[in-house]
Amino acid sequence: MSKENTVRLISAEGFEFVIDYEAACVSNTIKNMLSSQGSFTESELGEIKFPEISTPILEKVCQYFYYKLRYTNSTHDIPPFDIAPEYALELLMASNYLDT
Amino acid sequence: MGVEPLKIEIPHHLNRHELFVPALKDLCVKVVAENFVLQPSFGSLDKENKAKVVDLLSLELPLELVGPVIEEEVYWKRRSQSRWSNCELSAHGDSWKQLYFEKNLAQTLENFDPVNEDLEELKRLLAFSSPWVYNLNMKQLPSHMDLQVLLSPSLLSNLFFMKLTYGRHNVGMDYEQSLFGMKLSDCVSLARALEWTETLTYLNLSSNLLDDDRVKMIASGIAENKSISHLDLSHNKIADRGVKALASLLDRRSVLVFLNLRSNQIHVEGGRAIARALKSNKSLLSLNLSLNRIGDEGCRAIIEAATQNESLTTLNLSATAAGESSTKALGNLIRQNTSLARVDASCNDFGEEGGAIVSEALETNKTLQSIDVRMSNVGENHEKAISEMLKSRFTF
Repeated sequence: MSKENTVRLISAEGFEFVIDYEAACVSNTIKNMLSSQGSFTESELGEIKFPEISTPILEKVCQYFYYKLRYTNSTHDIPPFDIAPEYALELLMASNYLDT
Repeated sequence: MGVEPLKIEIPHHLNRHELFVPALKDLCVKVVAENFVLQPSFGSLDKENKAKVVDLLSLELPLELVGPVIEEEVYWKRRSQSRWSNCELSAHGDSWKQLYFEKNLAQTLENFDPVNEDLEELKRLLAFSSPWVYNLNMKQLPSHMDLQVLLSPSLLSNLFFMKLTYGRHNVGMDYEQSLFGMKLSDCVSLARALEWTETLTYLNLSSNLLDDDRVKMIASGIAENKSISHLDLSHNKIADRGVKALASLLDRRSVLVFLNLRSNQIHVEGGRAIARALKSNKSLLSLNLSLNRIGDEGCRAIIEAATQNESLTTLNLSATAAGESSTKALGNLIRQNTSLARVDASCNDFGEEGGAIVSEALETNKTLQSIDVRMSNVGENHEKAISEMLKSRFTF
């Protein structure tokens, strides 16, 4: 992962997840935030704060980004994506916000 | 727990299977729905996703759990239709949720077996169904359970309509007379329950083989009650003694608005008792005494009393063996009374003279909207004249 193609996603607790630009753009919301023509801090610094998304949820979201990249247009069988029941509701709300 | 992705097949000539990675949203919706029992909550989910979760929810979820949490009518519709065909929504406040809770409770009560089942469980069902139960319609109650439990305001606090018939479904060759009808002990517990209920407004005890003793017991309970306004005791075996007890309920303090005594065994004395009550009663709007052999004397007394009564709007004396003196009284009623809107005097014996009396009296009356004298031998001409007069009065 070269420095220029990474993005930092920051959870409510301040935990930073450094992931590929391509992975982050699985989320339409993030994609729009990063590629906007205006002068949003996100597009300049390549970092986005999510004060409403807690760390374990944001971690799961990032895992999903890579899962999606890995298996889109794949010719192999796709393995299931595990979601623990106790996170499901929060994850649903986060994914709704992130449009993913 | 893992969630299987969607598999979509591309037509053969492209010779390839394409697999889609489902959106994270959809994966989550499935997991939330499947684990709802463990986490019965929607949190602060938006309407759209909430609806998606509800669509996937199992119909077997425990009622106690989902009652307070699921408001969505779609869910209750699915659940109701999976259990019963021909759901009549209008009988349940046009709400599928209400329909489900009411029918579920009625069915449970109808099949409750006190020997093999726990009364405490039943009480729990009553308690947590309470917010959505307003009507109860039971066609059998083989347990003959204590009605004080059923009508206890601490359990069913919203119940305002109850129709209770002690019948029996699907008896077939096992018919026994003792299986049908209300027992005296049921009347006792009902009378006690009626003293305490403050929400019950409509009470229907039609077809319960109620005789004088039973009715007297029930009447004693209603005497202490101030909430019941509609009382239906049709199709029973109430005779004069029972009716006297009911007539005493119609005193100046009465709040009874609608009384149906159709198809009982009321005779002259019963008719006279009702007539006496009608003189001072100010609450009754509708009185149905049809299909009782009250006889000409009794009917005349009732009609005379109704003439002075200023609150009654509907009077049904169909098939009460009314005759000549009743017709004269009817003529007076039509001329003098200004509150009655509907009178049913069909299936009696008035003769042509009666027909003339009625149609003549109608000319001055301005308040009567309908008077039915069919099958009372008034003759075709009078019947026609009467119906024309009323039609012309109320067509615009």
